[in-house]
Amino acid sequence: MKKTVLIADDVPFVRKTLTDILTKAHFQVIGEASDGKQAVDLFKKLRPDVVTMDIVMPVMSGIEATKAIMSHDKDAKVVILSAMGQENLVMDAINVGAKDFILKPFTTEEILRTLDRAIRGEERTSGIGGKSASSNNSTSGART
Amino acid sequence: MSHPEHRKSHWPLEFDFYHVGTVLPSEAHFDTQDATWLSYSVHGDGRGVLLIGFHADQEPSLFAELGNILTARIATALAAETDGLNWISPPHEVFPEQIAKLRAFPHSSQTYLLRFRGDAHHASGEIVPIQALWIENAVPSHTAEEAHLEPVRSASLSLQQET
Repeated sequence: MKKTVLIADDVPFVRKTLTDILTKAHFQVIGEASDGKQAVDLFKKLRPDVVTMDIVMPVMSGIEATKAIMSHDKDAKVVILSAMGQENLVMDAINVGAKDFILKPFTTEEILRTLDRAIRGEERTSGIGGKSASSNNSTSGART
Repeated sequence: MSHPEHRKSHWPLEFDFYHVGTVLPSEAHFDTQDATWLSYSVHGDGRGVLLIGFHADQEPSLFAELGNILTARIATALAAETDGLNWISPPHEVFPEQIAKLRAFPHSSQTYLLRFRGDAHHASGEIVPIQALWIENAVPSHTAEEAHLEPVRSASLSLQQET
């Protein structure tokens, strides 16, 4: 039986990219939300196996939405997908209950590996989505 | 108009953009005629506004995400300078007639090229230019909190730039 996914992201391109990746693998996308509040409402209604959650969204941020989902269901599996790789934000996400954090732009392999790991309830093993935040955040002058 | 050269160090280098292709800095000319512009604000320990321009025959949502990535990386680089924390707003479309006024603010600019890997819509190797402008210390007329309340929409964008 395919594992079910709720996608929360305000950018249609990202939702379509994720849907394409997941439906070609062993997942079924059962809902899409374009803001944090919609994500919370859809989670309560659809009870997906895992949620992919953007941080920067209108109405309610992904951090607040994750907090609301976790207070509704402490066993919920939420994976944060964000271009914001600042250490403090990653820690905020983990502290409110997110199971993992993937830095955008993601690859197919990162998505499938991280969602599988979150569903199995395995701990994060290294960095963000299996790599460090800085490795995918290069600028010409300000590397962390 | 001054161009804060030190901010050039914050422009991201080449990176892979999902399955779509590669984004790379370029010295290529960007034709601003009929371009669509999106704005993103950075707020927190650093502040500023990023504008990105592209041509509207392309999928706007794809470029909205590209702007998200660029803005997030600049916000991260600024946060690293202060050991602080920065947030970014969702994208807002800017009225074309406002661009000339916004470009009058001191800013740095960088052209990027999106080189497609090839899919149903774009041939392999097809190149699309994107213009990015960074206006440091600028604050949009809407507050950061308001910015989070609004989805992508056309917006009257006016800025105040602090020194």
